[in-house]
Amino acid sequence: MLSNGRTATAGAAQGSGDDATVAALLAGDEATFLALVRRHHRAMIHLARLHVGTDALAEEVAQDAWIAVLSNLKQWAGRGSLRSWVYGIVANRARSHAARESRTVPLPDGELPDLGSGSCNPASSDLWSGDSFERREVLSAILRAIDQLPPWQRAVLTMRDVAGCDGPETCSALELTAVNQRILLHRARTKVRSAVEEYLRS
Amino acid sequence: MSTAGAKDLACQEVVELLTDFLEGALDRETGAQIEQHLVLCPDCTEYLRQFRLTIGATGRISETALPDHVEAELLQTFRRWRRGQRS
Repeated sequence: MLSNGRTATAGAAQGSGDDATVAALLAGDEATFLALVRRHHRAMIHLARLHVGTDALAEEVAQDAWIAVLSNLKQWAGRGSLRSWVYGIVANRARSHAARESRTVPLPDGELPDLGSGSCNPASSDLWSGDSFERREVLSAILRAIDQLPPWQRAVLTMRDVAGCDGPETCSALELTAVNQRILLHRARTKVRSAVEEYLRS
Repeated sequence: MSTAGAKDLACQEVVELLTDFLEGALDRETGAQIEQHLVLCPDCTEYLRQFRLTIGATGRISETALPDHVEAELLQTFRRWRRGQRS
């Protein structure tokens, strides 16, 4: 079982899932589009934000990407995963923006080394029991923590743990090595766990 | 392989390796050392539990609504496209 709970057969299931998703979209099903957007929009923004200079521009890139996705949906034709295709569109558009602005994109290197990450503090186990995790406030706390992450850690975490993309898709969209992607993911998850604990204490 | 010192890995090292462990990215020996450490260390076992709970909760964000104005704009995009499809 993979770290986010998905199994190794997810790949095969994803293919037929993608076909069903595209068919529903072409049939005009709003609920399918909304579900897709809720799953991916945040990760798309954070990916774009690595390339463009402002949050507003990143939002614009993501919105434009959805237009491109819908306009070209018939051209997708099942080549590769729908996810990879969508994030590829976002990455291309974000890069074009950055090139037009002659912007140099900051590298992830600054976010890789870390001084003092998590530690196992057994006294906290009571906080993490019961139905705390069913409460909406926990998700708000996580969203706040994600927003405060450094940009590369944020992009990796949202692609992997929010959007459910796998390691290779994430590495491809973000142009990261597998090792660096895991380091960034670990840093991010460690910070989010800490933030959740802080919330649970309060 | 020695069975002595299954807590050879310090808790700090185990915590650092958890994502690699969950990804299946560790070599067999290190993976086995972590598993042995977890058997003997309730603290790290608890930390892993919290780590997994956090990952699970993070995943549920994908089912929550985006800010109203964002969803409104995206739905407008969809409806515009759909109208174009049908004409």
